[in-house]
Amino acid sequence: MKKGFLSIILHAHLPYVRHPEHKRFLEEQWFYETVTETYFPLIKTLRSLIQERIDFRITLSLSPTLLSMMADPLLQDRCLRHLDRLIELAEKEIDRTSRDERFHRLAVMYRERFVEARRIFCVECGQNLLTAFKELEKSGSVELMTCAATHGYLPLMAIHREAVRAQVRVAVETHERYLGSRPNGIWLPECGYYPGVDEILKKEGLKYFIVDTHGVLYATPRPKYGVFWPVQCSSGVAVFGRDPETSKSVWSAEEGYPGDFNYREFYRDIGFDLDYDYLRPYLNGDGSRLNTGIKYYRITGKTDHKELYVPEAAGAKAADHAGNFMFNREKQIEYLHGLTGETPLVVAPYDAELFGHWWFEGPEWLGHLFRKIQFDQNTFETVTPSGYLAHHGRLQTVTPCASSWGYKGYSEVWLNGSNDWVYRHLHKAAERMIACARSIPHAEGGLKRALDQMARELLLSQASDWAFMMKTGAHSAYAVKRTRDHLERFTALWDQVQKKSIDTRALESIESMDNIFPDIDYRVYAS
Amino acid sequence: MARDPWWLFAYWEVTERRQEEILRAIRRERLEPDKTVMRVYELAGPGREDRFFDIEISVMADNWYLEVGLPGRRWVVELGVRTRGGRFFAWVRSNEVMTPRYGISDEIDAEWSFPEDIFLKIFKAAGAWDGFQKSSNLTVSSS
Repeated sequence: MKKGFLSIILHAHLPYVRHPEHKRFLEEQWFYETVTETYFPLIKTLRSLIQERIDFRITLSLSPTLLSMMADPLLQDRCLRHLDRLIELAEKEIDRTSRDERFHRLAVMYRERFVEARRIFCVECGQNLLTAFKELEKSGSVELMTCAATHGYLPLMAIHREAVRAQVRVAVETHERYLGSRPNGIWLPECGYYPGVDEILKKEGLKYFIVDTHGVLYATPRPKYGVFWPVQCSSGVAVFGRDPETSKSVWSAEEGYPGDFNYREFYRDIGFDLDYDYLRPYLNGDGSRLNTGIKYYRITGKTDHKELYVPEAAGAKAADHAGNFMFNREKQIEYLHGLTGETPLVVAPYDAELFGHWWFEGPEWLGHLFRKIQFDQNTFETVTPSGYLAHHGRLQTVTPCASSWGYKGYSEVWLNGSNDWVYRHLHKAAERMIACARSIPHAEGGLKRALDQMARELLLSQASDWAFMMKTGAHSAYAVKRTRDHLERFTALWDQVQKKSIDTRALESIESMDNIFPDIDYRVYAS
Repeated sequence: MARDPWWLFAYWEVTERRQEEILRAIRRERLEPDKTVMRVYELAGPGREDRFFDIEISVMADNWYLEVGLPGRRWVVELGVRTRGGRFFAWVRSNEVMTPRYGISDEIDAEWSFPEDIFLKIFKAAGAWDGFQKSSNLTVSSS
């Protein structure tokens, strides 16, 4: 009899970035980078575990924007071209480093990784990564959850219930469209919860969501088991609270595993280190330098002095750290079991993009962890939230605390001097959308298409990514432009709908540019 | 909108027509307009009546962060003009919002209860006194 459970949840999300109007576009690169550095390595790790018949459970939330990008033929083709360019660059690197074995073998390592990624992408997935995720889910070891349609931050949208509902409903429909079944759980964007959102989730058939630690700890009444047992809202939707200890051991810049000096240094990329003319064919469309993904150094220490990366040493560290993580869970779960007499659950959610992209050895660590949990201990087992709910009894009913997992725990990241100007426009657009859906319940033809496109533009403008980027300053000009572009397109269409005169040519152009959610029906905004 | 347990954010757009309408109403009563203020109402809760306080704001502003300082309370804000004698004439009224809770609840469901020392140990294991996000300390409060 196990004394408790561990639930690892990876949240995978990127904003919808697709620019058919440009041949190569800087922000589109995010998708190709994370596909190459996170999603391929994760798929590879999870597949190996399944082939080795390791009994493990993991949960992935795949945001609807990410699913839509994975399914998009233009981005699929461009992703393949990206991989081809990387392979070519790695081959040039093999040549360039041929006289220095220490670099040379790393260049070979990268080429092998890229070639394998290309093989998985083309041969095994038919250029569609969703095939791989569906197959993982079918194994029974992986649970796929959804997220809000465009990762809208729901607490700051709550003034319009229909807008929140549209984010949730379109998410569930998109998940079903691309993955073939309706999800049980939803990752609330940024863990942004407010009391009442659970009623909307319930109506869309969702059974659970995740909140940050204080979302459960500060619940009313006091949660008997803290964050170590799920609770439920009065709607009956279950709530899982994030465990801070597991969070710190992976996230923390100071104490977290990814900061180990043996691990690969993210910030020393050949894209910034090597000769410009040599790199030119592999840089951004505008000629600016970028992270190519080929990095030869390890973190080494806290100064700029960096030493060469040694994959064997990093691999050994990843195994050590997996052992340490497992040991700490054993102790934690034994303690909680002794204290409560119950089987506690430790919920450990992370951004998927941390694994592989930022923490190069992350996917390997995950593989070691699941193997060790199976063979090296008997205290706990891994579980998905749905698996846990299916085998455990009644939950305590509480009202969780409005919260997020952002800095300071509430809404300040998405509501501050850098981004607060967006809300008056987002709210106005939502108000107009809802009014249109109410007053035109049976639109057809061009009018329906215009209204559907308005829904797409509104959803795209609501992505929490834009407010976040405005706050951090990185790519903030792009974030401002995206917010403005979608709102302007929305308003132009709204104007045409008011005048009952649709500019079909302009509409077609917008439809082909912002082509997300092909089946959307604007009536999702009707009350 | 509630930004966190202590702060609200409000934005607005008031037409000149509405402002003139209110000005006329003030003058009809032979009063003199003085300041543009936000009247912040804390709505009644168990054992509490509605109460309010005013924040003077710049005439030019079209948004404002309001420090209300109380987690777990319901709020409505009106924006308008206060006269020299202290009468308030509202231009616009906000939606109702609630500041998030902060701190561990004192409300305990008898069916889901432990002795206090066990509760404390569980909450300690959940990092309740380590301060989350390194920005604040947790307190036990009844709010």
